[in-house]
Amino acid sequence: MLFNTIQFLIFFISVFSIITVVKYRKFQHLFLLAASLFFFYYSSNYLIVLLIYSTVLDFYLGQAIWNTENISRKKILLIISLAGNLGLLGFFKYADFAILQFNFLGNQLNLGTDIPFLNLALPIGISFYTFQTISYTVDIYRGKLEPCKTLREFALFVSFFPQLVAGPIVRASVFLPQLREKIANSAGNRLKLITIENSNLKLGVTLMAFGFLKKMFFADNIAPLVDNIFNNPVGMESLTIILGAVAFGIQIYGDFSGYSDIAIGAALILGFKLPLNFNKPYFATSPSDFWRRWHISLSSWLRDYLYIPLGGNKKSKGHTYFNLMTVMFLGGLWHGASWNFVIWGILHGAYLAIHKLILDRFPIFKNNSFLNSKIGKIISISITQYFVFLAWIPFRVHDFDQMIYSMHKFIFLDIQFSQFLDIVSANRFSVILIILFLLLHFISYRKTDIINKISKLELKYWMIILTTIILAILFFFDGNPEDFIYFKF
Amino acid sequence: MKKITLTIFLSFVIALTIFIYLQNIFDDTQFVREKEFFSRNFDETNSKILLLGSSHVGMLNAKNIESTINENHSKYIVFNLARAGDTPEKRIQQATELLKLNPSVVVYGIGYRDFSTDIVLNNENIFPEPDKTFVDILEKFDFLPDNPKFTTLNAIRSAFGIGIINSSSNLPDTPFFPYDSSYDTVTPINELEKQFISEKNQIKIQNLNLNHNVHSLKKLLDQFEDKNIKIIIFVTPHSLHYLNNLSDSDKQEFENIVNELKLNHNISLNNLLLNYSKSEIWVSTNHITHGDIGRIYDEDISKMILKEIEQ
Repeated sequence: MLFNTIQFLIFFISVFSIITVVKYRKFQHLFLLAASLFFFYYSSNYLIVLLIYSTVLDFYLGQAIWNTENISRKKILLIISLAGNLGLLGFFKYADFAILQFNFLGNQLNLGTDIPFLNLALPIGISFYTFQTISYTVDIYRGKLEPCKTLREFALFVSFFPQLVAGPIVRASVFLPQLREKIANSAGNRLKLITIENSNLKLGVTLMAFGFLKKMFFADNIAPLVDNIFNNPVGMESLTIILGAVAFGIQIYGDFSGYSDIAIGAALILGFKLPLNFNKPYFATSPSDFWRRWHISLSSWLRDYLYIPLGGNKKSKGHTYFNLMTVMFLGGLWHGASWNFVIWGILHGAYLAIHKLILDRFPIFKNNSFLNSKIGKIISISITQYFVFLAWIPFRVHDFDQMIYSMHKFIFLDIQFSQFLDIVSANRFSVILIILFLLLHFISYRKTDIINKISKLELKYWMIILTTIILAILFFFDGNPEDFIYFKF
Repeated sequence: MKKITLTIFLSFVIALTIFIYLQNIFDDTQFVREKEFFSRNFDETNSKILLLGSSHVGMLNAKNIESTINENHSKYIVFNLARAGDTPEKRIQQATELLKLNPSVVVYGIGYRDFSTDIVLNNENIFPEPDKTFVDILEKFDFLPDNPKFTTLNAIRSAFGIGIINSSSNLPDTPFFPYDSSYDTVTPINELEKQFISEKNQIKIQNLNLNHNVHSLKKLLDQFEDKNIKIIIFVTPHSLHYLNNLSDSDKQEFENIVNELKLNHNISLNNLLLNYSKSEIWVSTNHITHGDIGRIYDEDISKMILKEIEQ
């Protein structure tokens, strides 16, 4: 079920109403679980079996890991959990990609390999819920988390509908305590009564409204310009390619952070706090700063469950650079079974490694007063974003020749104003939206916590803002709800 | 909480009221265009020939066909009433208006897409599908315009004196199919191949007994027959790239549908499916260019009509 459809609106209002009216703890929790499973089943049909498999597997393995004293047995159980989860993810997401590479390699070696494709449907949200369940068993293995008391609670953690299909990737340690009444800052034994609080309702609705605005008003209306440029970029001059890369950067940010805002807002209305997923990424001053601001729940997951276990920065410098590259390579592959995502990941890995290398070689850049000044920040942001937007090209352009052409034009400027003006003129509305978005992004950077402030406005002013947002969405909706880009991952 | 909920509700009501009110003022959608066309006063001294179908038919030039027919018969007026993405199921909703026009000949172009059902790639669901039921219910209560963005942008363009994109750019006597200058250009073969890849597996034709579009078309033909209107059905031309992309089962289902129409209706059936399949006259894998090179399509349709009216 897409968030940007009337179906979701009806679904959410129904869930909200029933939770508000029926104030029995057990019922509320069971109902929320049933509603979440229905939400998944609605668009995934029989693939719900995979979600149930992951849930059951990790619930029982989590308990077994916790109850076992023997270290090597604990390790074996963890390996079973990882194999069960990653095997499922690998099979459904990467089987055909692997077959393609195998056939290609076989043909290069004149072996005549021609393994038929499996043509499997990609289960929605599998990359997200797999990472959630992995973090659960790993945290139990590390002794950082107690296993969930009941299967119902664990199932709700895995399938909680706001974050089920595209995150944020929630850790069990963050979510599970929210299912229980708090007793002196720790989770008690009693199930939490879900009550709708005024402040949460207002903030949640404001977040959702801005999420919809980012997705349906900005991202969906900038998309035609991106398609216009990148569906066939060969022959385009540099400014057009740069415009395309910037437009795509804004489209994907509006699309994904919009989704995250809706998810966080919907959860908050129901009394659950999900972690922040974006924090003005286009004002990042370095590649590592970018990854502290972009898809935060994924980057922190990769840090805690991949980068640190690989040794992080505790070993040699060379090892650290290698770890950064490896993590970002896998992070790229996580996005999809395609080389363009791998290239995107490798580019970011290289950015992180080179940035680290520069800081290691030239410590003068650490806490440098010039770089901390206004002009220094502007320069840092500009350089960082140049590379971030360059990397968006392989993310968007799947055809290899077209990707190389676009990246070449992005780096080596070849400017023809007339062609650029033609594109701008044919896509005036999208260009205006890009400027407007950058302006709003800048305002939100300067004035922190703006959504919170809006949610605290008097009801009449709040209503004006809500109405304006709804009008902007309605008037510029083209009749076809567009998929969220991250639904494909 | 009541106050907040009420505020949210009011925001929706106010926004929807403003939206629907303004959209109705600026709307230039298909619905308005159709209403305007059917409420016209037509000159009844001329016999009307109606071309019906989807964008495949939309590529025909009504004026070219009309002038070819009227070289020998000066009393015919041809209207191309094709609509983008049209299907018999959608067209039958227009049946009353079409009959009121009292046409002497109806020419209906059918292609694979007219009988295709929406499919999700590789997603043959085993369990019941609540999404489909829900969408069907919602469609019955669909009171919102099809493309508000189009209307809004046109209103803005009009307010700033920038040329608007609407029915005024249609070809003569082709009221429902917007003309686009890109239709004049032939797409190179290598580009068609790319389209062929992107269109792969987009067609799935259901068995004729279960196919709603077949039932709708048959009903529509019955109504034309009852009014003694001459009916010409033609299978629209497709490029080789498109045809190569179809599965054998879909080709067979389509053939069954055509045979069913031939056996049970008083129609003249013409098959243009392969006529230009290898020619370089395609805008896309199933649309012939509006440009001069595409006039052969108009001429073949004209011949078809002439044959029927001269019988």
